[in-house]
Amino acid sequence: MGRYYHRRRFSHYRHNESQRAETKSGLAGIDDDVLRIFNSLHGLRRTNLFNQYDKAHGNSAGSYMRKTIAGWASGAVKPSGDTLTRLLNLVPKILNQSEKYDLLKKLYDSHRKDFQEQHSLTVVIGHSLSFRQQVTDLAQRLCNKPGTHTLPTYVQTKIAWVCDNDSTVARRIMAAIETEDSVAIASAGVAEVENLVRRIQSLDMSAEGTHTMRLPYGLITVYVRKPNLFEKIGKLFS
Amino acid sequence: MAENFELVKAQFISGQLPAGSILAKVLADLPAEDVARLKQKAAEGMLGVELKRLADQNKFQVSSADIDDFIQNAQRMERTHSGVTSSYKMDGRFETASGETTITSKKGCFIATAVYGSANHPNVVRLRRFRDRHLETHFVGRLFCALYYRLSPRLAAGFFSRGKAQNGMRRLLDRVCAFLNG
Repeated sequence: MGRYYHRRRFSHYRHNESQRAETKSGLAGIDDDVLRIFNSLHGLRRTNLFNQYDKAHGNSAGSYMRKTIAGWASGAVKPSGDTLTRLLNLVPKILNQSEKYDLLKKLYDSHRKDFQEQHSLTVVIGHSLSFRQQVTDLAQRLCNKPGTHTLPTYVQTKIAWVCDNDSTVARRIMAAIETEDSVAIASAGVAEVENLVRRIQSLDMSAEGTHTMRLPYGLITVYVRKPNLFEKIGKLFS
Repeated sequence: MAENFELVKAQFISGQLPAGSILAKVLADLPAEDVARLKQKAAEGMLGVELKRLADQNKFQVSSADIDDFIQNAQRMERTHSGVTSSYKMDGRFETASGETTITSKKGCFIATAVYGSANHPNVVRLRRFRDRHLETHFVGRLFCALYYRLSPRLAAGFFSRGKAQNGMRRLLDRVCAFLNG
């Protein structure tokens, strides 16, 4: 009996753990932030949230939450995956726009790597005459990426408020800032590639160089080298 | 797309969004306090970008000066190592405003250096002297050198840097050097 009970408890514990891990996946730790905010709520905001919780999930769930909140705050009790999902959806509703913006930014920043691109380009001195245009085109492509960056569907399903109007506006602001940042990096990068080409050209011996531009939405690696013998001969006949 | 963002951002920050635009409609539904906070976030973000841009301008100038110094040193090396028995390799890595630049400048006998383990081995010096005195004085020799410098770095780094291939090549080069000496 004891062994059976122990096994059941253990399997229940494991189920809770896996459910919690599933809820937390892809949230970039904003669940911990939400829980921390939730634990630090007081006064009118706290009452407001409790009322919303009762209204959305019933009085029994609400009274369990009130009873367990101290355990969550101390870390002695971990909320289940379901409770975490409820809090993740309810707490941001009572946050101010600034707090919500920060959560959203953290979420988008962590999912940016899924949208990042890597490009490479070889510039042969004297042969790749349109390299500036090619580098500019690639940089432009990465500068446009912030506008197309969306969160994965499973994250949108898990926390619905990321699709709300105010979150959409917040995301557009973030995208505008990221675009601005990308444009600044890209313009410096294009100038640096031009300088690299000029410098490699100024050396008589075997010389080569690479320039890696790190933009928020990807990398562009430009490899600059002198023409080889066949390219030189080919150019003579072309 | 970038221009669109630029326009929306400017309109948003200045509060002059066109009445029919989606963003204007969305903002109209938001409480004034939320709109003010979003504007503050936008302004903070732009300030961050401006500060980063200033830092990057400084980084651009500093890295450009560093790379110019490196190139001047490489040109000096080219001049001082233009004669016989000369080889050098210079590598530079620079953090720049947009990322990272690396430059490599080199002159040397790659396979022989890989086989003998040193650029100053007597046989390597002998081969280099032969290159400078005999090969580089006529067209076919220069063609051979150009082809050799194109292929040899990869062969030296891979095939001839280990095991039987290295030993075999060493024996062959020993004979060539003995012939050059004789």
